[in-house]
Amino acid sequence: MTGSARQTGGQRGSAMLAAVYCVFVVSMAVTGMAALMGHDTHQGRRLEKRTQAALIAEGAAEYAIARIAADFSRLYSPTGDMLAGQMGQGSYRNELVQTGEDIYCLAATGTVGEVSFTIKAHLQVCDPYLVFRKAIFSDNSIDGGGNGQIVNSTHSNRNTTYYGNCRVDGRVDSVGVSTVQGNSQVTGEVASNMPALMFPTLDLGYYYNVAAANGQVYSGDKSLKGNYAPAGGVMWVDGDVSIKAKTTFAGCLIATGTITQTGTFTQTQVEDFPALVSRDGDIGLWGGTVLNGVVYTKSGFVNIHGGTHLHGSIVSWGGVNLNGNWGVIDHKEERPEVEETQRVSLLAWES
Amino acid sequence: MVEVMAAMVLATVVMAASISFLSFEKWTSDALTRRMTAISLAKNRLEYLKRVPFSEMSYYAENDVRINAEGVPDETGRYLRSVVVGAESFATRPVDITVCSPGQLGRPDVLVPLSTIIRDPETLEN
Repeated sequence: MTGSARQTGGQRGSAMLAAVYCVFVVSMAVTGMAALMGHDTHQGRRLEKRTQAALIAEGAAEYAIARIAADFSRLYSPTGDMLAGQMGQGSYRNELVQTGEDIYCLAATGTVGEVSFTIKAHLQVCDPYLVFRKAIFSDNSIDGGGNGQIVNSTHSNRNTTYYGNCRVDGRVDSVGVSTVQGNSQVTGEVASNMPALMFPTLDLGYYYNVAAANGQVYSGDKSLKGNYAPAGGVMWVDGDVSIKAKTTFAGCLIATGTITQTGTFTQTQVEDFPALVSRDGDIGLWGGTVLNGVVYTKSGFVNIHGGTHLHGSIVSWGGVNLNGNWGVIDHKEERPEVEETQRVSLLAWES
Repeated sequence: MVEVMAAMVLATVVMAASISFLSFEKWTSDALTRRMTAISLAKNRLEYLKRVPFSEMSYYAENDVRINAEGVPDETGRYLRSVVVGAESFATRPVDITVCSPGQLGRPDVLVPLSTIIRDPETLEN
């Protein structure tokens, strides 16, 4: 009797234990599934916010780019709504950082709730006046030997070499290789593999019209000797120009061919016109030269062989060669008439 | 006998709760799928708008157009798409796209709103 009662009680306990065990297992499974479900739902919401934040960031960047494209000065003085604001379900914040001489990075961050997304746009400023901030700029190579001083930076879209006793009070940048040898000194950084700068095209039509309006257009090769002060400030010569003996010139001399100066030559600037311009040839200076303004060759070289004091800058397509006691190139920033306009181009997106 | 009955009741309650939970899980899973699809549909529409001529963008404004999961207008589609194209400012237009998947059997709607600004590509050299 006692044994049978014990057996029945044991069976009852087994049923309850089995039921509790089943409940436990099912509860654990349900709890696990609930956790997974909650995680999936959270991830779904988070993806939605991330998508929203990314599109807000992209939209904010596009807005800032459009404002800069419409008004170039906004690159330097952005408006409040370019920098921050509300959009859709979140907010945005833009930051403009100069990462190169003419490269800017626009970092746009969109935020929705606790989720943020940043997208970057790399912008290149195509500013034709940028090169006029250099003492020497060439789309080709710059070779500086002999003795002389350059007051400010130089930039070559190929290679730069200074040797002999050259002194550069500024940076030396090249798209290719920058080399400083001998006793030459550079106070700033000597940098290779730099980004290319745009070669500006002077608006020669503008200067031709000034010369033509004042009867200062000459056909054929011309030799200058004496004192000149062309009316309107521009003399245009369809041909080569040679400057000999002692000559003074008040204004801008433009030749379609080569300009060669061998005698003493003093040029003074009129308005903000360039000093010397050669459209299709070279410019060669052999000493005793004082120039004020831009010395520009659209296709040829600028060669300075003797004592020259240039208060302005050299912008040359073909290249710049300095040798002998070539003197001083003392930079002064100029803004001559150019064909290009300031603009911004979009190089790349990054996210 | 009482213990067996109690065990059966307990098991029944837990099973019922589990079935209810599984039903809820299915709905949640379905809502998640619909949310992902809605995000995709809204993004696709934005990408499409970026490629239409900027001057014609306002023609693409729409309100509660019923579409299917591929974004094609479909009377039997599960999604409603609305596009608001804002006024032009500095060669840009704000665009708001909302894709909604209405809830069934009293369940809440799945609503995905996306906003951005589209720039006239003519404003810059790329």
